[in-house]
Amino acid sequence: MNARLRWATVELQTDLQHAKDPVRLGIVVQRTARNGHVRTESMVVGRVPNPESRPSEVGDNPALFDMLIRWPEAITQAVLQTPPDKDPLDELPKTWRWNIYVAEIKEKPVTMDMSIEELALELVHEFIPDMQWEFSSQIENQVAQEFSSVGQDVARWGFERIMRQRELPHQSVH
Amino acid sequence: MEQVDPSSATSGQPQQQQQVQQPPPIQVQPAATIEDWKKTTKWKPRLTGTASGGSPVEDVATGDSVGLAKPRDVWQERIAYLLAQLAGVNVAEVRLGRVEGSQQIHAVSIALGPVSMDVASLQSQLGPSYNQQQVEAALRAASGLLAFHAWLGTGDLKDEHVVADLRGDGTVVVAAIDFASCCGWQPTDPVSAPGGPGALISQVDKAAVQAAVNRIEATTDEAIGEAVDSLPDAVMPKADKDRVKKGLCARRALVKNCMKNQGWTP
Repeated sequence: MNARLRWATVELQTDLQHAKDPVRLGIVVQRTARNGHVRTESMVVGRVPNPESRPSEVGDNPALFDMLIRWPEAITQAVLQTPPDKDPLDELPKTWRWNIYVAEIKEKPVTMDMSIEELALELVHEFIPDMQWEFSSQIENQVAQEFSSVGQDVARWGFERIMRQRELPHQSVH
Repeated sequence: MEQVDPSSATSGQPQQQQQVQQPPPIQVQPAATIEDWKKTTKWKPRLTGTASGGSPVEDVATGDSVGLAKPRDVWQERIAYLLAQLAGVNVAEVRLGRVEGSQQIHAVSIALGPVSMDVASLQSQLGPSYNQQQVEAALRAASGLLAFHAWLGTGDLKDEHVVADLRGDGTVVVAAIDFASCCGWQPTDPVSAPGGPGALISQVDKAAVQAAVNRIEATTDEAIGEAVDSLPDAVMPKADKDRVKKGLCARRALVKNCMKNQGWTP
């Protein structure tokens, strides 16, 4: 069975008035397969700062730090709350357009041979190559967070993955 | 919606002018200093499908400032920012600029603060650290914007057009953005109370609204003329300048009753 893979890249700009280099945070991946019903799997994979060892590039604004800690969860909620007649990835940029923003949306056809997790790992590794994107176990409808060392540093960034699935009647999806 | 007809108001000098401290002269960006901007890779939110047709840009001179350049409704965006200084209300800064060497002048919207977002997105993105009391206090302090919206006849009023500056010290300041639809009236049109944004209407501080009313009434013909005439003719045709100057002068005395009829002033 063929499917369509779409993914959105998520970035951070710590200062919207005097911009610095943006920080890549992660991706939102969505695979949609049609077989009578439409089955959509979504996965958010990205990095969150470690509160114990805050990366200097995220700045020191406490509200922004709070947003950074929970961006994968907040985006997952936004995906789940998207009305069934709308594509979540098209809706996300309408609200995620400030310090944390959806930068690009890309898509390509895929087969069902690989899991959504494998596809997401491949994409996020390509997007943020300096992180060690190795997950310790398969996940399903759960949140996993692990911290990954970068070089010899104490882990400054953790990575988080959240997978959700929803199955919709074919006619409700446009 | 309550409306106040121009024929029912006194013209000439506003009634409370003696009680109000004259606002300081506004800082008008001279036409000769229209800045050069270019597309930026530092901040690149995907904005396709937005009504403004804006694109993220950075200033050529320093590469330090970023903004959102809009090719449409340029004078409306800029005049609202200038008039907000006269009315003593917060509107995020709008500069005039050229993008990538184009001769077309754009309105370049500058973020309200380093960390800012629209109030409609605040709760979902901040999560447990969303401080409702603090945000509501900031909205009340900004509720003079309702009088300002009445004066300018702003349309498309929604919470996405109210932004919060989340400052490093934990304080929150609120301002308005997106005045693309303002000043579309004829000078003799009645003044209507704004139907939004809901976030401001639900947090009216009567003293803040009254203060804005007073500042609007105290604004002189000369100050209005200076703000309008600061816009290049290429951006705001002379016919629009004449209409808007006349309308702003006529409407400033009507805002008071409009706010009173809504119960938004003491």
